[in-house]
Amino acid sequence: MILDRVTRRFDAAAPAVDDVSLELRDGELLAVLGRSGSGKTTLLRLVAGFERPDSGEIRIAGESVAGNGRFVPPERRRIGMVFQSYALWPHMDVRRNVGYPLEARGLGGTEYEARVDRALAAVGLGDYGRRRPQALSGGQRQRVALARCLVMEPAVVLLDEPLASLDVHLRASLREEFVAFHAETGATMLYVTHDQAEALAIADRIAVLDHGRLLQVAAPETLYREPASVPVAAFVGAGAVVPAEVLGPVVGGVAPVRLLGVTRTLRAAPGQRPGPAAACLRPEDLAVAADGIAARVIRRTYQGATVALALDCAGQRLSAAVPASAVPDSAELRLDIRDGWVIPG
Amino acid sequence: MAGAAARPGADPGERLILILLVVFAGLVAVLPVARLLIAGLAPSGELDLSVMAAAWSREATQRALGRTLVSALGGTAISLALGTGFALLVTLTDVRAKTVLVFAFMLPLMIAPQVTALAWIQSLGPGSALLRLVGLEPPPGTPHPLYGAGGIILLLGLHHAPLVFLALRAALRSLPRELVEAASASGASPLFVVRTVVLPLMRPALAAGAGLAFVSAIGNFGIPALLGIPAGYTVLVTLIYQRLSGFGPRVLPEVAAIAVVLAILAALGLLAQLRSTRRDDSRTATLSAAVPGWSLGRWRLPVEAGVWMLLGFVVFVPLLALVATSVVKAQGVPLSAETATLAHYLYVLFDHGATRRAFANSFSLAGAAALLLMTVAVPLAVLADWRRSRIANLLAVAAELPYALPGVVLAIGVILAFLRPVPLIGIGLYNTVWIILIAYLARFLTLAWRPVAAGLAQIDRGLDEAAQAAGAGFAFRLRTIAYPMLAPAMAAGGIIVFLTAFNELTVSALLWSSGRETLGVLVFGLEQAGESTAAAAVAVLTVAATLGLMLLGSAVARRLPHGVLPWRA
Repeated sequence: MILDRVTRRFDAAAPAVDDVSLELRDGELLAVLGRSGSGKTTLLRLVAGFERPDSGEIRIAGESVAGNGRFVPPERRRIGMVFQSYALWPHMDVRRNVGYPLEARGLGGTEYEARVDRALAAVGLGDYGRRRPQALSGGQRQRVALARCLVMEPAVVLLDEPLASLDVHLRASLREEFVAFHAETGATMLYVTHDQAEALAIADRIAVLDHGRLLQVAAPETLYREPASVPVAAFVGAGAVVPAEVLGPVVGGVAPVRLLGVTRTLRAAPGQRPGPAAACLRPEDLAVAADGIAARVIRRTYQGATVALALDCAGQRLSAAVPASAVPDSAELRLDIRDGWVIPG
Repeated sequence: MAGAAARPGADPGERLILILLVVFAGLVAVLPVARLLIAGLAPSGELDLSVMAAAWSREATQRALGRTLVSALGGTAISLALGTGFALLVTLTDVRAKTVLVFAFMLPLMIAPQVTALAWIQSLGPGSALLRLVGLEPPPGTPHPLYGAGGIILLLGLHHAPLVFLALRAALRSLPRELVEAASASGASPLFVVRTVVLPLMRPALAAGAGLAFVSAIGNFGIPALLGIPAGYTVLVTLIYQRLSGFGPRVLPEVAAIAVVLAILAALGLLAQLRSTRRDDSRTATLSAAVPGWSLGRWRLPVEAGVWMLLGFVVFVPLLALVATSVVKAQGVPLSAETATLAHYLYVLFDHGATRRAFANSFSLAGAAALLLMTVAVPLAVLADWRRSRIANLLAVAAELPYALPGVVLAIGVILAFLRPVPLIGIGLYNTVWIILIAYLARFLTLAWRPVAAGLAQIDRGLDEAAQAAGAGFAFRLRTIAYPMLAPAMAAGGIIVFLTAFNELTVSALLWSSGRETLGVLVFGLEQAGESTAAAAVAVLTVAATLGLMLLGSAVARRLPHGVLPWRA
């Protein structure tokens, strides 16, 4: 599935989706991560066909479905969609809910039954076919919604915050279930969420969306370790962005950098030029040391194995996660920078 | 979204259904109203007020206008007082048996006005079988105390008080509880809170209710027909009826000119209503839990007794009088075990040809209108709400018009539109039962639409989108998602349409022809011909059918959105 320079605006103000290009590989689970109002749901609805792009083109399985004067309605796009509310029809039992895409295409008889059976078995709900959706738990409803969109073997499955309406405990277990499920079916999935922990945990790649613009598309680890811009560094993961000066060329993926009054070797993108830049320091990049940068503790939050420290270092806010045993009681301490990333730009 | 063209995924089926809806609403709702305006204001194609001037220079017309205003304003004042008091009592206090109270209070609105008028005539007139039982009947030969302005004002007021009640109750339910609690916490007594906080905040709702009661009062036919015509007290609606039934279609230009003025009066009342509902909308955002019931304390029993007595006098005594008249041997004979008889029922049910015909006509007309409109309402609501079709939204607004305008206005519009044979097929509809059906479809479309729209608003739009994502086209989604899910709301709409059409007189009084009479026309005709006992028997039967249908509606009410059935507490 390919989005090519897609824009959608609802009014004269800033577009909801602004010039977004994105490619989804076969069998991939791509998470679209953004705050509420970032345009992520609009992006999903554009792919589904519930919104029409003002410009740009969308292609699904090689076929152009929107753009250049063409518009294929949702019902002919070979998509599967899991709604935040799951949108299960209360007047139909589970079997009929799951079989609905087949029914809509006029399929019946043994093939209908076999495919519904297969889809229900895939989500482990083989015995629940005659129940009404109202009689199921939140997790079971989600599985019905998944079975319904898989029964047609769609080109792409679209998921709109499927875990958002569940409570915290259920969410964690369903997240694992979801990863296993994706691995088994190998379906291509576009997954919209505002929860970065969720995105980092389940996605093959993450697309960060802000104010309708795509900031970065990368694997979770890359996104966390090597954010491409200051907004991405600030949005994904904890930590701080501090001003820095690159002192020399990048050699072997690292470069000498001056920051917070000291010189350290930080990771940097190839081609990073010497000069003023910004560095991203994650909480685990900082350690308490006997000798290092002086910092003042603003707040300490006990988290079990570690203590989260909010620090002030010569006017710069930093955050660190250090082993509980390593934290001195004093309000002043010294820090060592063990790792860091020079944000390109 | 920029209208139909930009709506994503409009498949051919969806477009076809939208076109059919446009044709349907255009023919039944828009065309008659447009034809009337043209006939009244521009009969020859351009603006020409000569017909208008001629009609209005007649003294009879001017007098009827004055009487219309007097009776409608007087009736509205009574409706306002009764409806407000009852709404405050039911929503703000701990008075008991609210469901039954509301049902009883709503009854006058659900029973046809001509039946109400008949019942009151029977209960207070010189021939009253009921008053005879207690020896209080007026002496024979005296004029009926209800004939004339006083009786019309009283009955219009009683008949439309439920409209004020409904408008006020809805607003009271969305009154933020904190506003009342803050006043109580400041030390205000309940009566003081009502006067200083509740009623001032209810001003838009009161204006809406009063506007509605006024529009209904100027358009009411049954009450001024039965109470005004015998006394020579003519209002605009009865004037139109008398001229049209006396002189036939040739006075159409003149009555159209009168009807246009009636429509303008109605528009003024509707404007008051519209302005207030618009202001209402912005406030529903702060909706919180409903105001708690104030305890009436030791006043509870006296208040309850008073309310039930009042309801007894204005609702049940007239109905009893009607029943008494229908089972007494002959009018004027005292009712006793010897004089009681079911002969009139047997007569109207089995011997009197016109009654049997009228029952069949009204049943099939009301049934056809209910079924057809239920079916049409669902795609209209789905297109307007889920599919955001601007055209469908316009149609829904246009459908309000034939219901909001007085029935005679619509009836004249329908006559004007279908007097001549329909082009292309060359079949004339005037003087057939079909012209009544068309008028019913126009008038009651909005009644079928409202519950369905309310039901739809409670359903997650995602349920439709999920079906669309699953590959279902528009028509298939209608059949498998919208219709099954909206079935209870459709049933409610169907029952309301059936009830209203079944009891209807105003429209059919102008459109009926020999052999095509409706129940309303029949009751009116029997009473005018002096066959009061037979009229009473038919009226009792229609009241029984009405009550049965209201109870049937209540039985499915659990599955309906709040406020869909007006008679439900």
